[in-house]
Amino acid sequence: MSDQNLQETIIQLASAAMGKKLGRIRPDAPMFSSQDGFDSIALMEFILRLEDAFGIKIPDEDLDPDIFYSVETVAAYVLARLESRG
Amino acid sequence: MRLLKLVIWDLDETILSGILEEGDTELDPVALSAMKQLDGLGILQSLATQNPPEAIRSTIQQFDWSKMMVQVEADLGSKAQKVKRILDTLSISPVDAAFVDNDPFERASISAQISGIMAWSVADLPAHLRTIEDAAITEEARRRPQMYQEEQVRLRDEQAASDYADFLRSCKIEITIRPYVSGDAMRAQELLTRTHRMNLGILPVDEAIARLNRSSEHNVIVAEMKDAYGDMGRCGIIHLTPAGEDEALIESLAISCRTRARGLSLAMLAGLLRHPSARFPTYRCRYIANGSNLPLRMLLLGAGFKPRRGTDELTFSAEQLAKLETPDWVRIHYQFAPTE
Repeated sequence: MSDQNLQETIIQLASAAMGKKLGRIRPDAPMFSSQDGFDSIALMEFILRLEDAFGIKIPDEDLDPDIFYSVETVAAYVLARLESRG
Repeated sequence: MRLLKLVIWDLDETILSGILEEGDTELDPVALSAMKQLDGLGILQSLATQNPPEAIRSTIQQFDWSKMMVQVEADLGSKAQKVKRILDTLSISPVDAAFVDNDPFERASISAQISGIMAWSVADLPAHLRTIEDAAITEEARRRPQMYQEEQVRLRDEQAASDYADFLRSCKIEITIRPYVSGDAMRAQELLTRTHRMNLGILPVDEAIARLNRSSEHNVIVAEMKDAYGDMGRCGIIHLTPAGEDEALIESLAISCRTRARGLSLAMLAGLLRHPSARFPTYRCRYIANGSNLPLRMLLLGAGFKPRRGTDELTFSAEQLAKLETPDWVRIHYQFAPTE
């Protein structure tokens, strides 16, 4: 899967979890803004969808704001996890 | 003692002495007394009945139950499905609910299909209610049925609104952050006991309360919330213990689910930590998953709490706190001195 496809997939998963269209979100922009109102259940849903879509289990120590900062950082994390699986 | 947040009533030959369809509308006096007691204790009540909806609407009007029964499921379908819909709609776990039906088959059937729910006959009620009445109740508990009704009005207006952000601004949501006072003790215990999803829950409740009561009041901060639909009272609490010059340990944290409905759990957490008594360069807390509090872990992630690898600890800094923005549909006020 190319980086672009990976990022598009992540955007779709986040949109589905949050029940809204993220539109043309910049890959390096913060995905979750406290100014917009924060939904812990939506974030939980996003992580569960990530795990399901990519067949990975995200441990608690990887629930790191640096990883879940932007589409780019989430994609980098997912790619690293997939590559380490071989 | 188990929590009781909700009672789901059957109607025929339970609340009613007879059967509605046969024209019987005499109320069972023990059931009626229990309904009034439950209302006074702030325990939500609902109705699950296999009578037609139009007949139930008339009955509710006849007995003026529209405020007492926060949810009514009336159709000819499965009783278990109705009970499940009530639990789902009210976001209440079966273990915190009781189903009341004088038919032992129905009680057994519901118990078999909904794990954890309590199933009582009307005759069982007085003994159960006596144990609950012995516990003191808070103002928030007393108002719980009313708060539920207020929330239904808010949800209806939210669904009718064309712009969600404008709707939230119209709610005029206000959060007041202030130091804990001794009068908050009962509500603190209630929050730490009843809150499951947004509860750090590191310590057993009794120990958390004991530590909180031994603490300097300046280390415990309380958040109250109200909006145009009503006053939700005390919705959040945080207990901090200084651990060295620059760090505070978050001993307890509980935020009511009422904040989540308004997208405000993060704003409330930020508000609690921004109170002058709560300001430290760094914060540390332990997080242990307990099967219910994953939403809190998401809140801490969203705020910027970082996991400390190899431990169950999370850390957070004043710099990260400064980056958190509060939505423009909420006003946060700070009180600096305890008021009794």
